Amino acid sequence: MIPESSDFFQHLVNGLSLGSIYALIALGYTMVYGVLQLINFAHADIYMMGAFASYYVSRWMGLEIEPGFYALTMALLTSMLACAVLGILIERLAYRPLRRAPKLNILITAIGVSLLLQFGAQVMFGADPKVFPTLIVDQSLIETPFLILKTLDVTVFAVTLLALLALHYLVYHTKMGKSMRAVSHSTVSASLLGINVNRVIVFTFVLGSCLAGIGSVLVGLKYPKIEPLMGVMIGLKAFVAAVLGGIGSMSGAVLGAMIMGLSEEFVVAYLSSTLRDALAFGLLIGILIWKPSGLMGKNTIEKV
Amino acid sequence: MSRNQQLLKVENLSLSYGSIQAVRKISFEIFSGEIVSLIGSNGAGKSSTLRGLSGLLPNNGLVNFMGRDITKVEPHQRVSLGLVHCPEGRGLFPQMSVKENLELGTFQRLDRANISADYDLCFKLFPRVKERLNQLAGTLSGGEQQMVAICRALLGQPKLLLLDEPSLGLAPIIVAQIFSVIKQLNQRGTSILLVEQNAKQALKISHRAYVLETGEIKFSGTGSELLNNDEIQKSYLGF
Repeated sequence: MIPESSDFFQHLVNGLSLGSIYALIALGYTMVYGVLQLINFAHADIYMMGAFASYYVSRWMGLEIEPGFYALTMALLTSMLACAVLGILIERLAYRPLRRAPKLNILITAIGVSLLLQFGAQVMFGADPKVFPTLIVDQSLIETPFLILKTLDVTVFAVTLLALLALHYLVYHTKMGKSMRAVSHSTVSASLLGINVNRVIVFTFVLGSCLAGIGSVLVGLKYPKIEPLMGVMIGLKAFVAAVLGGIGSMSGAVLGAMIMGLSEEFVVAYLSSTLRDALAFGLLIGILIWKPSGLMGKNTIEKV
Repeated sequence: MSRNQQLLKVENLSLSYGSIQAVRKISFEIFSGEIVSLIGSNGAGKSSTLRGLSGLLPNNGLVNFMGRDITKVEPHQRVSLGLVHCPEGRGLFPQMSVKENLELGTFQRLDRANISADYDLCFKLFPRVKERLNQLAGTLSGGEQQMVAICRALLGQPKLLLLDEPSLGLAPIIVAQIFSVIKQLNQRGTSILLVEQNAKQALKISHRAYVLETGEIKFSGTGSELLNNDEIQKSYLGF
């Protein structure tokens, strides 16, 4: 089948928008891995909790009545706050006591926390899907024969871009961010410089969780159906994106997420929608076979 | 601080890695203004002692720094107290620039105003470091990396500087430069605990020294006493 050019641009926009959302979540995986060498399986469920927090607060505040910038900002702040608090709690209660235990223990704990959140949410919020409130009126901004640019897509890009710029500033230009990069290279060397490693780890969880919180609101706007297991698939895909880019590398996570988002969109558009999920895991298998350190990851030598 | 005031007092310190005991009930002390060396063969427990003092290994025994019991104090808090450890292998962050590496050494300081004076001191001691500021630390030569590591430790404002093998693997001319800097730092008032394989050089600049053997202190004395001791000459100085 020959792709029609009119569709091509539309799919490009959709793919980038999906990739942006994956990027927001993948960054959380990769940053936590950087400082703790832990795959935080509960990350996707923190994201889910963010969606529910903003859902309930939006309804409580009646944000739906007057959609717009204010409504969006409030929902984003709520979700970020809820996710940050949850991230701090999980780190403090579940992971910190196991800091000196073998890596496998903490990994299993992460899976346990993930299940607890998934099924705890089913008990608290009910298993049936809920409709996320419309916080932005979706209208066409630009209409050409090739491309229709809608408010929602622009919002997703703009919010993601702002979040990434803020993240870049935090990580490369603040004391805390520099300390975080130091800790992710060596916890020991960092602590010998007087860096409080525990505080840096908490900061990393807060940062990752906030990004997941932003992601959850954007997903809620774009695909307005939220349910307690909504984190599972998107979390897996964001994780694949992080591995694809090279886990531990922040720019790698963004690159991996964009590749995932775009390829998923194009596979669905031009091949078959049944291949959507197969693609993600095909990519994972491929990268693990040919370049296990990921596209931008560094080859680490196991220290003896 | 005047000379002869007790800075660090260690009593019955034992250190272990899991079930393997590296250091057995050692006791020693350092007075302010001193250079003290720890010498001994591989595996004698020299580096472990430093790791214990900086809090990387749990302390079993008594460690008193400036009149305060620090056995339970976390590594990062010991740095703020003025106990700074410049580790073996230097511990630089290779993907960060020299400038960022140095900056990390100042993060725990509260006296923002004096930092630039300390930078000036570093650049005076090692002009090479200033030339390399914007380069990635991983691209420097071994000697330059050691200079950066020492500067970074200095920026942490040590009252007692723990130096682990600063001369390891370096060209003789750089080794001489590093030893001369150690002496200069000491004259400026920093007390130094030096761990060295290069026992002869270390003893020459030390006020006092301790000899470690399989985790226990076997000898102690002034630098020149140990330099002239027959047994030490045979075992460690290769005469």
